[in-house]
Amino acid sequence: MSTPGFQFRLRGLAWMFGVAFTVLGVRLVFVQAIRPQLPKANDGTEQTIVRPAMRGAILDAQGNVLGKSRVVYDVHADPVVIGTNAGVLAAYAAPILGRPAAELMLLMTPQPELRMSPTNVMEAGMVRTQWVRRWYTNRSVLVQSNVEPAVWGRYREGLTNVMLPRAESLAAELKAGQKATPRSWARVEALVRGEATAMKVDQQRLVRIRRELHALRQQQAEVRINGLTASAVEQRVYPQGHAAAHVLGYTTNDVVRPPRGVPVRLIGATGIENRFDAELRGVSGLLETHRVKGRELVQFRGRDLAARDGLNVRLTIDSHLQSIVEQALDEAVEAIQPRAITCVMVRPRTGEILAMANRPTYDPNHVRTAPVDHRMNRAITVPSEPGSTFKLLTYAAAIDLGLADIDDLVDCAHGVWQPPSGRPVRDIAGHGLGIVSLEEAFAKSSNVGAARLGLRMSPEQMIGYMRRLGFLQRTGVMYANRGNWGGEHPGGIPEPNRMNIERQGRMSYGYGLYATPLQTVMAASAIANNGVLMKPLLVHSLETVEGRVVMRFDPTPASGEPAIRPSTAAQMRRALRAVVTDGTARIVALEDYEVAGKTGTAHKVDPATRRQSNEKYTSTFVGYLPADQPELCILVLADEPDKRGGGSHFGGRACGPVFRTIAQQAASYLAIPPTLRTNETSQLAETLNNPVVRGR
Amino acid sequence: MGVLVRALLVCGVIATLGLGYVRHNAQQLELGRQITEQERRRDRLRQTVNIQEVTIATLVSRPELMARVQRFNLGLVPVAPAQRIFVTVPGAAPGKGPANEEGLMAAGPGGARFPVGAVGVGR
Repeated sequence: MSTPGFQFRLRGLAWMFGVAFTVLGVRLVFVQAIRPQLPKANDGTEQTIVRPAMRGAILDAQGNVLGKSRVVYDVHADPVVIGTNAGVLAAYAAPILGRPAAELMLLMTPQPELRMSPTNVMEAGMVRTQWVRRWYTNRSVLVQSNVEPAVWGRYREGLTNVMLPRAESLAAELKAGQKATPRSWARVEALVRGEATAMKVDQQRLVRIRRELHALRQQQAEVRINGLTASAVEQRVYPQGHAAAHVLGYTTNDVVRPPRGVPVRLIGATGIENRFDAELRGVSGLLETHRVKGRELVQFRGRDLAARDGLNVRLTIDSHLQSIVEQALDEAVEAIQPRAITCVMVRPRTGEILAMANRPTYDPNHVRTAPVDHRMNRAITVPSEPGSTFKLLTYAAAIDLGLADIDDLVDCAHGVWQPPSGRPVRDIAGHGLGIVSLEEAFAKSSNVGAARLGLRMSPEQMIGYMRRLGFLQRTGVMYANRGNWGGEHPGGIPEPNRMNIERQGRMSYGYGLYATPLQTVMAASAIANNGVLMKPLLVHSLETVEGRVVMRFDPTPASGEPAIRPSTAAQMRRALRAVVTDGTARIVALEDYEVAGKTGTAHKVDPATRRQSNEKYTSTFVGYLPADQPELCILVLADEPDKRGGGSHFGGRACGPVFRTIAQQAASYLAIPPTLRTNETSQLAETLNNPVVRGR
Repeated sequence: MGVLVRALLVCGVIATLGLGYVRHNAQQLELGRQITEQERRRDRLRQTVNIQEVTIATLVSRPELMARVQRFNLGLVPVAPAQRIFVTVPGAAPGKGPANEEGLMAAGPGGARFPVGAVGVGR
């Protein structure tokens, strides 16, 4: 064993192994350390994936969801891939996607068409664009949108059972053929018998079948994988339906046809969705990676930035109060059939808007079907002549300027008064008053009383008080620092430079100027809030998905000083209380609460005649409760209430019952302590508050 | 023999390195596959949670609850204000009551007032 020859061979072998392994080692070092085989740029493996951020939710004051996003799928078909297999795939997908198979089949069938397309051609060294006719066919047809992930999962799971009919028959034929083929010994026997040719033909047939089947199976796999594809899209859902639809607004897609692989983003079109779009939207993430044969090479991932979901916007709206308002408006639409009706509920101390609703309305889940005028937030975008509700400003201004006191007497001239110039001022026929206190004139809504009082001040003084109480300017409720006013109307006075006695007199009782329902309710809230006008507040805070508050919107007074003095506000509250106890709004009185408020009825201007119509009115009631410590201020405005069928166009009659219903239910929900008690409950409360201690 | 042992040793080291490299690559691929799979699973779970949240929000929305109350004909009515009894709690700091936190109820001069419940069963 140790002969020199053996030693030599052994050494030779060792050297050979040594050289081989050294080469291998060098290669290993080269591969691992010097030039690792990383995927290169532009080698077709790199991929950039956008990680979409989920849009934040819109919550009510209690955290109930008013608007939220969810992921659904848009299912597309590629008719070219599906080819002649549309029938099989349509029959399978129809019950899962919930669409008739015939419809699906039509969508999955290729529909080639001739189109003109540009081509660059070289002519004399110049590039020229030439239009040529080319055949095109539909490659990406939207089959079904908003498919839930579970439904799509069901489709994918069952897909393995889908067999193309030809493949099925071929597989059966192949099986039968294989069974009929003789075994190896039998083949030898057949050769001996001279039956080789027949057997060869059989074999060739089987090979053909096998090849065809293989091709079909590949096609089948292609149809299964790429026949129908789904792309995830974000869908905005508003679980409360049309509740607060005008406040929430709605979203649209940022582009109609995004590039392949880029997810469609939602952008806020109106309302809070629009005003807080930047915060709600969040920040998309990004992933740079490499993919080979559909498989990601995770070890070669580049930038990997996680998406940051949008912030939640918590509103001051309370969905329960909103629902009470919505229901009351629905009932009002049935009862008085107005062209439109609006309600705004405010907390006077803070200016928080607790509910805001309009009719007609729309469901933001199906915004495409809603007419444009149904989408208008009339509470802030449609101004109207306020009518008698404006008298609260006239009275407040006169008292605040020291020109009158609520107990002063005024001659209401039995309903017809001729001012120094212009047309006479008239009260409603049969409701004229004589010499009465200002409180009574206010309670019974005398136009003459208001005009006489209004003309005691200068137009500048009146306009000054209008500004102080928030008229003639936008309230900024839709967060004006975000680019624009969000559609809010400032209201105003047409041709303010042409002011005269007649116009000022008419303005005193609410004609010749325009105000939005929000402006009116905020002005009434200022009187309820001791003369301090608050900025209307619609958003409480911005929060992360985990509930951490990022930004809080605190209640803020509209200006540094009160709009009117507290003593003026106190006198106005007395007058407003008298409207409900002895005036035009006795209908709104509640059993358990003292209510204060003001009715308003304004003739609308007929666009045809450009004169005041005696058929069309704007009816309003604005009031608050409890009268002594106001917690809620509510405005109801009906545009053109139908007075036929026993209805009324007067503010108290048309809007008073709506206010009453809302106020009663809202006070109960908020557990506001009653200010008017029944004997039975008073006694019980007395007993509970003053318990008799027995024994020692 | 010394040379042979050394050669074998070198071969062994290189072979181990090679095997290690292959195993390492295989592990990387497997981990990559697992990461992708887990991420896919996480995304699916997120979607499911998201959909459940929307479903819950829809089910607890007031229109849905009202519809169900009507369907079951339970005869539920809101508590009337007169059915609530408000008790003044002596010494309780005004503004600290549950309703006050929401800014709903003003406290009287003698202390905070709390609703203690409703009397009666509806009307």
